[in-house]
Parts: sequence; structure tokens; C-alpha cells
Amino acid sequence: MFCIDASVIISAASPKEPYFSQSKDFLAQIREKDLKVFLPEIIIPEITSGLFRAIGDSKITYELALSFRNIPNFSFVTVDNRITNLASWIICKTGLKSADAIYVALAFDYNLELITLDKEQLEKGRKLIKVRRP
Amino acid sequence: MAKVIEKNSIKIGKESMVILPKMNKKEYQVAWRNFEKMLKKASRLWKIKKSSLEIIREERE
Repeated sequence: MFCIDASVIISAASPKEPYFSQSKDFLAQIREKDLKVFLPEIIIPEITSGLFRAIGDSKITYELALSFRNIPNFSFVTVDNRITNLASWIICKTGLKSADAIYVALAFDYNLELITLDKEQLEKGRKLIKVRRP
Repeated sequence: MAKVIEKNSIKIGKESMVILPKMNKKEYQVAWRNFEKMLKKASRLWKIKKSSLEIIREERE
């Protein structure tokens, strides 16, 4: 089971960047193998905001966010006090920034492999969880 | 720690079970096709030079 950082989802819509194909292929694997993914709720506004700035079309951005929400493989986890307390502990352990630490906290708590393009999550998260690029 | 205990539910530590959504094959394919179609539309409209990583870093800093 996996947790996926917002950077991977956004890169699957960004054709000119180096990890575009890998990110798309990873999502295709999730679909084909019916793999289970847990995501923190904050991923929805992160993706929406990032894509809106990249494409400048509010209708398409909103529809994309809704279609992402409806993928049956994805379970969206509320960022409650259990996750935030864990994120604080992870920040103190690793020096990760707040939102980065929330993804690592979820992966740590649910025993998930984190898939990310973020260098800090890759380097600092490695101390606590399984983490890799797509 | 998450542990699969049966097909459509997952137990998370001491917390209650997470019940996974039940979907038939057709609904599953439709949900994915819709998401992939929207990703394609977004790809065609992409208009900035920043990478996804730069976009996310800006979001979080």
C-alpha cells in the first residue's frame, strides 16, 4: 500500500518535466493492479492550487480535483490530532517542513510506502519510512 | 500499522477499520478514465515553465 505526494500527481499533468512518464506509469500501475493508496486530505487543495497556477483554468482544475477524489483506489485520511502529533514528532526527528511531514506521518502510521519527487521527503523521510520516486 | 484483514476493509492500528468503497468493474474503469481524461486536458493547457516540484515547494513555503 502506498501514500503519494502531491508532486507526483501534478507531474503526471506536466508533460515537459523529467518525471512525467514515470508518474503517469505509476498511476497506471495503481489502476491496473488495483493497488490501495492512502492520502492526507490536504492533497486535494495542494493539487488544486498547484494545477490552477500551472494551467490557469478554474473549470478544468476543479473537475480534475473532483475526478481525483473519485478514484476508488484512493482513501483520503483526515489530518486529525493523531496525524498532526505524529507530524510534529517527525519534524523534530528529521527537520522536515510541516506539509512534507504530514505525508511522512501518514506513511509511518499506516505503514505505507511514500512515492514522491520531493528531495527532502526522499532524504529525510528515509530515516523513518520506505520512500522512493515513482 | 495497517494490515489487510479482508477484501474490502483494512485495520489501522488500534483505530477502527477503514471500509473500502465497493465498486463494480465498470464504475472503476469510468472513474479512472475520467481522471486520466482530465489529466490530459490539464497537460494540454500547461503554460508555465516550473516543474511540479517547484510548484509544490512554492505551495509549502
